[in-house]
Amino acid sequence: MFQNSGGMQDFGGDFGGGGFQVGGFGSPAVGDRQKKIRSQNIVPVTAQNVSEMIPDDSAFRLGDNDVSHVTMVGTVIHSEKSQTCTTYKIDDTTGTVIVKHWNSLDSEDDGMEGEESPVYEQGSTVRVFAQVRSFQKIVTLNALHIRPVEDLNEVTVHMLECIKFNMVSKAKKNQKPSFPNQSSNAGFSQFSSGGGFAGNQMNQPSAMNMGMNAVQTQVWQLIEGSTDPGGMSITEIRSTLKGLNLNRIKEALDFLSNEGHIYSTVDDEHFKSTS
Amino acid sequence: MDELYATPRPRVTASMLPKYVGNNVTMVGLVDSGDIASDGNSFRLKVDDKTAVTVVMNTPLNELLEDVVEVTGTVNNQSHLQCITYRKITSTVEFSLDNYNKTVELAHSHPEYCTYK
Repeated sequence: MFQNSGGMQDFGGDFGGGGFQVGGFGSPAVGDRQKKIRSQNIVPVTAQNVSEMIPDDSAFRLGDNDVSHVTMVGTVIHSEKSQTCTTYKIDDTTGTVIVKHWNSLDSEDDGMEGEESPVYEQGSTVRVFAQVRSFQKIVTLNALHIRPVEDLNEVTVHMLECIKFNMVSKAKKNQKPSFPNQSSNAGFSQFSSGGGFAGNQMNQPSAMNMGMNAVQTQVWQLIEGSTDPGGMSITEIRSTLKGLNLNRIKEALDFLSNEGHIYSTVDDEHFKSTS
Repeated sequence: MDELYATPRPRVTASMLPKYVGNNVTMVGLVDSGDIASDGNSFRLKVDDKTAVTVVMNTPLNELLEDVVEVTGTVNNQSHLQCITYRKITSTVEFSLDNYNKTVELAHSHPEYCTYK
């Protein structure tokens, strides 16, 4: 899916796209494991996110997520070249970050220019892939790879990626897996084909409303939100939706199971959603 | 110039300008060479199909602006942008201003996911 959006494609689509999707956000192992496995995901961040990161052992935490590798898009507002590294100050309108790019070892041999890392001038927009480091409480980034941004849409895409990362990790936290995957996937595949973004509503599963009246929608949303493996019972539905009488609830349940949105589990009184 | 970078400069669309009077913001838009005032002190930035924002310069423009420009400045009470700095954007692929505006609106409508303090 991210291959289509174009932002991370140059850098070996697998690294950005694969790492982002396959790794998932649940990979950081916490707590009971003795060896702490560091998160291998590349997290899209804004400069403000970088300044909000909290050092946690040898890794960093941003909100609820463990972060070690990040990617950022911004403008170079200052660059300073020294013998061993180039230090950039990169700004992306939310704040500024100091990024250190160490000279590659290949170019240390005398007489061999090799792959001298180009110095990016002030005013150029770049994409940075970096590791988060802190030094005396200031969080900086150690750049692994910097390249110029050629397509300005990459700036737009990066903002969207940051928003999406936040939405998905918040939703995972709230344990409502069905909602963000549907809406945001639909939104992003529409975006990459160039339009219809405004049509996507992120806050409500409004696509579910088609063909259902108010009673059915309420019952449906209630059953969908239940995480109980045995499903939701009619008595629970009645106690939650106090305004509806039993007959109407039963009619709604019949309709929903005929349409295939729910199915009965333990007995005829318990239902679970199919999606 | 460093004090400019000390605070966030949110990206905004034209409709959000009244809320940010007195603050530093960043706007991206199109400039038509015909929209530049003859004294070079101001120009109009087309931020979407229907709206253009007037950008007022401190020092007159000494180059011809065209196509996509990113302006960072302060919003004054007439909803004009007092330009502090601007940048010409060159893009190998056509920059979609429409998608950009939608993204900015999305970011502002969900401040819990994307904040500009």
